[in-house]
Amino acid sequence: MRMLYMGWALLASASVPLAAQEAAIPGAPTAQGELSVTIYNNNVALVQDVRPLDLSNGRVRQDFPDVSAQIRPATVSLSVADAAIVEQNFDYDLLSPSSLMEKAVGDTITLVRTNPATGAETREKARVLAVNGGVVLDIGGRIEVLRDDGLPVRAVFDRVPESLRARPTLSVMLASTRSGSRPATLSYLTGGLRWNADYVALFDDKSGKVDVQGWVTLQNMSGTTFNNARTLLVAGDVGSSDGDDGYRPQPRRATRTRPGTESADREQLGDFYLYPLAERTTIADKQTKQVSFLDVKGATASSGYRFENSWLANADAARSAQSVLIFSNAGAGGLGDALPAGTVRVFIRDARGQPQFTGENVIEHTPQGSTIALPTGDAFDVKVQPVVVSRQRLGNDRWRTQMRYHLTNARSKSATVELVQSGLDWSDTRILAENRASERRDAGTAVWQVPVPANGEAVITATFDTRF
Amino acid sequence: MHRLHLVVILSVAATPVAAAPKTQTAKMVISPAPGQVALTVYRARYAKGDINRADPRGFAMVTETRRVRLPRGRAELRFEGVAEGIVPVSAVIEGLPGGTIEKNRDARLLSPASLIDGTLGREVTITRTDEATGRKTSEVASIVAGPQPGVILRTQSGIEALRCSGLPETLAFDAVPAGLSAKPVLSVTTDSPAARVVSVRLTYLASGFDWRASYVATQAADGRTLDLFAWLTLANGNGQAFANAEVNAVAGRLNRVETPELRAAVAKLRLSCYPLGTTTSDLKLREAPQQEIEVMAHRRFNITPPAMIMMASPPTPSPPLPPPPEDLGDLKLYRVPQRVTVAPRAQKQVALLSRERVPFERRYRRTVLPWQVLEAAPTSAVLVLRNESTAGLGLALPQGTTALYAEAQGGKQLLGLGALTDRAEGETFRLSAGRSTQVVVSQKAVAPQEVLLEISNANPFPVAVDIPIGSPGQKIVARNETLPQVDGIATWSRTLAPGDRAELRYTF
Repeated sequence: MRMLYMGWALLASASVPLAAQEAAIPGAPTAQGELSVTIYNNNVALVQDVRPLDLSNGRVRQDFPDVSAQIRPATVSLSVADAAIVEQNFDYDLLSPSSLMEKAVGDTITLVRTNPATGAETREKARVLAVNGGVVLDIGGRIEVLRDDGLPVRAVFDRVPESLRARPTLSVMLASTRSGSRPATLSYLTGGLRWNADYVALFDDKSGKVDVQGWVTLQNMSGTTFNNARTLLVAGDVGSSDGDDGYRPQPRRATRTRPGTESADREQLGDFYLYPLAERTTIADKQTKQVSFLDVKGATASSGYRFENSWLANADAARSAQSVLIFSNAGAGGLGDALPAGTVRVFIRDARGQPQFTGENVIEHTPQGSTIALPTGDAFDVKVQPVVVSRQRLGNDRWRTQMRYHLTNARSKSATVELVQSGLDWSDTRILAENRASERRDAGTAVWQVPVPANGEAVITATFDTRF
Repeated sequence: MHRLHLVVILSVAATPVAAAPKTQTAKMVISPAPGQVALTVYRARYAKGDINRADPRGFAMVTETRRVRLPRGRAELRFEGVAEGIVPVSAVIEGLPGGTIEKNRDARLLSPASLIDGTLGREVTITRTDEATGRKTSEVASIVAGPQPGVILRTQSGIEALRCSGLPETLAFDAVPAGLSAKPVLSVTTDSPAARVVSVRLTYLASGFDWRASYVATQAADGRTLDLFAWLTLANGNGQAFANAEVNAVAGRLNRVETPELRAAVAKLRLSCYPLGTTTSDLKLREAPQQEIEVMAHRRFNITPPAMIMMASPPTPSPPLPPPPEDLGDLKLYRVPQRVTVAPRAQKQVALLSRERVPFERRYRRTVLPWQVLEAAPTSAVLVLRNESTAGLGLALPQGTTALYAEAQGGKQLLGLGALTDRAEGETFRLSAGRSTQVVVSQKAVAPQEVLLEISNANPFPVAVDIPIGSPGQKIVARNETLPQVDGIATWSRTLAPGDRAELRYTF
């Protein structure tokens, strides 16, 4: 973006003397000053940019190149000593061949014609009369359309109109009460920056332990590089009018969390935890950057199975149960930290000790002390076949439904499957008979904890009295 | 318990933050290619049928071992030659003595548009060629605006728009702007206590891979057993070769999370001009010389015929068979017994399993609904197998396609093509053996809520027929017999002698 800045310097020398003062630092890599960037989760970042301004006394127009390309101009504020802001402008009338020609209506331009046979150039002056679908010119009293004959004609303009910009540009008109250099703090909100966490969990089933590394991942899609910025990540969504409240279907394998009540040993801002990067860093455009924030060895973890059957679902072949990794982020025996939202990738060592990927899932911002049940995928060897044995109509809107669930385990280890029959929440539902006691966690579900022996099977039967 | 790397980094960083140091110039170390590679391939989520070779939807975990020479102090280590489908946030780097200070993935790419964007305000050379004489004239110009939606130059004459004059014009640049690279780059910043050569292990997930089991069953002449052979078919849709790699395949379904991808910024360069309509531009024959040149970098997917590296066809000579799958948590891991080279944009097959004389039962099947009217509707012939060690199987069978052949006079004949889902040990599964128009089903209504079902066998041998009727739990009452429920559905099963037919009357 320094080129932009130099471009303006070039332009300035031709037309706008006001901006010329910026050319003072030739070859400066960027016009950005001392940057601080605070990134929130929901595509909002706060940028603070302290730049030295050399202001003269009186009214001064000051351009600010190298701000974020996705700046929200309405959120800009500038504070500079001994100067008041008269007005703040965000100009987005962009310089393009069309806008250049349109702004030249009424002005005189130079036409350079090239003879296609000899290559000889002839020049003449022309006045632009109109630019409507084509360019109509007045050449010494003769009215012509530009390039009507299709032959090469260069249209040369004397200058770039002042209002046209190569990039959307922020400028401020200041009323300065003294001349001299002083720091100005520019702050604004921008889109295009976001962050989340990424976790690598290496699970060992035998010892029931998990090693977890946590990384903060930040992405810059703003179109602008932030140089040498002090960076702070805030784990939280600040209310934002940009936030989409779009409908998202519940994923089939949703992570379930029992929220904890411990406070993490981290700096907080209101209800948000803060994750500062230890040193200044350059966040390049189109860059994904990761920095470690958590490294825990030997936290307690276990694996389990879950199968959820929707109401009246029947299968002619057994379907796999979900495999679920269960761990806690409590201080005792757990990860001992609040976990910012992100993706947990689970690895297990194969017979040769090489870690292999076994699935991933997302967690939300999770307070310390929570228990997290993370479905990583479906089990190959643990399956459930739900069967609707009978449907009997009892009355106008009463049905008696007999269900059988056939659970199989082809592993050489016993397994406990959390079997869930969901979809029971349409008015009153009774379980008339069942061969194993179920738990009604809520109106909608009946849950059985079914132990299935190694290389064995188990059968659950239940009769429901429902409205549908 | 673990205030971790951040703290470590603080103590390592030479200058405190308050001093606001300018970015330390890190030495750059380039690791051009991996030394040893291990590849674990995972299937596409809703994998059915054959692999989509043009766009394999599965993924792989790539583990690379690289030897790098690290200087003392801060250095940026760049990894080149990683799979182009890499999921950058999944990358794990082990073996750096100075740890990982930060890990970056840069996707600003060198393209015609980014060249102009990065040279904005700087000087370029514009060269015009005289079409009559071929004479070139060059002059120095600076880029005033661009690349969208056109490029404006300041030349010695004044302000001009690039390629609007109808003259051949081209720009020459002095240098490539900083920070642009040919391909997305994965790099880590580390701070080594001493200069040394280290072995670094890089693990990452990459898209653009897939695998399937391809079962080939050959029915023996006795009609009671079959030989089951399976290929492990794997495809690499990436442009990278994995030479001499240790290859594994994982069966089972894994949960995946959509990772927001930073699309490599390959904007096209579109040069548009001011309106150039003429007095004759609404005439059909002559188009207004609308100068719009689109320069676009795009990813090519060569759909050349995939290099099918077929190993010798079974059973002579017998290819090395992999060991039975091992448990990987709740998934199954199949190892390719020897190291193989996975070529770019290629499909590869290696032997997965081979079992002989597996007993089966041949049955015919068609599901009917009570309201259906059927006239001599064909049935599906299936071979029913038990995945048990007593039956010669008894191992995890990954999902894939099946092809059933029969030994007949004059060689093998194809009987049926089908698909198989993941089958654990102990499960029953069916191999598709084609459609039969010899064994057919008819059905018609004979009274309200009453149906007559008829099956017939035109084969010179007896056949076993299964007709599941209706939906799960539905009450189906047959007139002269009780229908057993199979998988929740009332099912009529009969064995028909050659030329025989049978009837069933039922109400619903």
